[in-house]
Amino acid sequence: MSHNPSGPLGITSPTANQLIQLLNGNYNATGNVPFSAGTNTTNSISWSATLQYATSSGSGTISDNRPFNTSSGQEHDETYQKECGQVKVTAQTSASDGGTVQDCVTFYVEGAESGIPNATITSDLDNSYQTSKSYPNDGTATLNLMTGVAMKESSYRQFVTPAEGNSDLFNLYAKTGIEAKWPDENVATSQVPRGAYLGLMQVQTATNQATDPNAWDWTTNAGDAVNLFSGATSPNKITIAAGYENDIINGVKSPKIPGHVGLVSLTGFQLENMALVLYAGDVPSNESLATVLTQQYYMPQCPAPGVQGTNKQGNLTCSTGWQWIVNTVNQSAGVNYVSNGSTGVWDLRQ
Amino acid sequence: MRCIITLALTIILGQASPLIAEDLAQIPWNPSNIQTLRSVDKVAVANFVSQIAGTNGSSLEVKPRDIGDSSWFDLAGNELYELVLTLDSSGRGYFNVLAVYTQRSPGNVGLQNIEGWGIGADLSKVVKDLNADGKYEFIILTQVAPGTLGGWYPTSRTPTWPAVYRLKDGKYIEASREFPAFYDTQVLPRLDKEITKASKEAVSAPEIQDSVAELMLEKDKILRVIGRDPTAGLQHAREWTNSEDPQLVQCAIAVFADIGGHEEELHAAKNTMQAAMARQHAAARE
Repeated sequence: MSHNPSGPLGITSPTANQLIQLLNGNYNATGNVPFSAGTNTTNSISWSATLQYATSSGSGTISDNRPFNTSSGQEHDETYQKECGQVKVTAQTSASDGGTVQDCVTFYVEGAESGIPNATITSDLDNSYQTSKSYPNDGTATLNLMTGVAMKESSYRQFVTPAEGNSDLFNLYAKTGIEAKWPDENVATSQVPRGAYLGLMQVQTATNQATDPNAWDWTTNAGDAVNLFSGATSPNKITIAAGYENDIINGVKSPKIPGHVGLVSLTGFQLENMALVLYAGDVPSNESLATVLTQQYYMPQCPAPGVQGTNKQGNLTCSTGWQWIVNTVNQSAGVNYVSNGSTGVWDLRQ
Repeated sequence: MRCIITLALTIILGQASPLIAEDLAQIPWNPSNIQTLRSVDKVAVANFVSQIAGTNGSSLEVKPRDIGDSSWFDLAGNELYELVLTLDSSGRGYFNVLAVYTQRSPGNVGLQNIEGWGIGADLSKVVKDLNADGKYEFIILTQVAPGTLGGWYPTSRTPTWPAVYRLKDGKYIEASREFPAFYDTQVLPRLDKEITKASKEAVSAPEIQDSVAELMLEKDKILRVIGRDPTAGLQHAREWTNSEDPQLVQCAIAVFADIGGHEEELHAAKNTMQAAMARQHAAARE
């Protein structure tokens, strides 16, 4: 069925291939989307507006069908929150001869075309991080750390057009030249499909977009990442890092891993660096603890001309005092993820 | 005692009933138990992985969602099975580790981890007998010069190349150079096609030039690895290093770092990158 605005039933709004943006709420909702049609009878018009979305590899599916009725020329409004994609609309009524007539139109709901303002993203990320469960409260934490993560992961972009390198969902760009803002999908490889990760923080595309709308709600996308780093996820990366810090300082009884006598506690800032390496996934979680402890952002060093020894408890002593150093020997990838002078998380903070 | 009785019953009855994690290390990983082994679900595999790490001191629980795919393979063609799985340690589903568990004897399990990038959740794309010799190789997607860059900027565009690992003396080693036929038949033709397509698109959409560079980065890495041209990509890198586009400069850094012996050019490219990023930040603030 193709759209026929001049037929006995003609949809007048929305129009074919119209783009509706997420400009309301916190850039995660539309305003009123008006639906109207004209017919040459007084019969009721029954509508069906079905929104569909999936990433280019078919994950994160959304299907939302909305039935409603109008009379000829009457406007009915719908709003879309935290969901977008292609909306196929069908209107149907009884014709004057008793038959059934239909009209249809397809439109699209997309992300904000001018992007979400950087200041808005920064404010949300800063606030989310600073109020998260394990935010280091010793006065040394990096207030805008999550902005660096967002820049590192996506260049601060939740939504991107196909012309900017994103997927061409629904082949809309190829067919019509229309550049819609879709959630920023990871580049496909021979083993990972496009759209396995998406959005501002390049988190895994949630299967249930109703409960975890990280495709279309950038604040949810950001929240998923903050939760993992320092928030509700148990244990989060800061918590895990603190555990490893404790193991390195105090040692482990079983299996026996010696501690480092006199090694001071890490500051909140230093724990952040440890946690970033874990967030990057640079320390395999299935390794032995002894191996894991050697792969952290920091490692203990006995500075020259110090002499190492072992005390009665089997822990390591250092005559000049143990110090933490950046672990470029065993963790160069993670260290550079944190900071490399230009594109590390720390370097990219906003 | 309960463990032994359960294990014995499972073997005697030959049932394909799921094993619990504690049994998995004990049951011999041989052809007569392969049906039972293959009945193990992701929950049990995750528990097994946690348990093995736990015996070595780790208190971190590996959850089923941390495992992309797992399967049993007779990797060496010696009628002993290994458990192979992809693992995510980031919490974000980046299955960047291929873990190979080997049973040295019942209850005694060894582990080899191979790190890559986005190895994925489909082992059929990873574990292959490339040269039909009865032994399996691994195709591990890997970043170019990850130690230098600490991950691509942005992560969403990370370019990778497929490294080949093969068995040697019971361990997997990187051996891409020994498999030129794999690259000649399955990788390079695809890359050439993609480079041609992207190059045409870049004429009208200049931002796609980044995609062209990233594809060429992958191709040149492969040409260097298989010995076709040890300095493949060097000329491209010298062109990219003066670009105002941070993506192209990043590609140049990756090439200089990977080839090695071009410290001055690498240093210059890093300085260019810093300047390009500073300009980008300034533009974003306006």
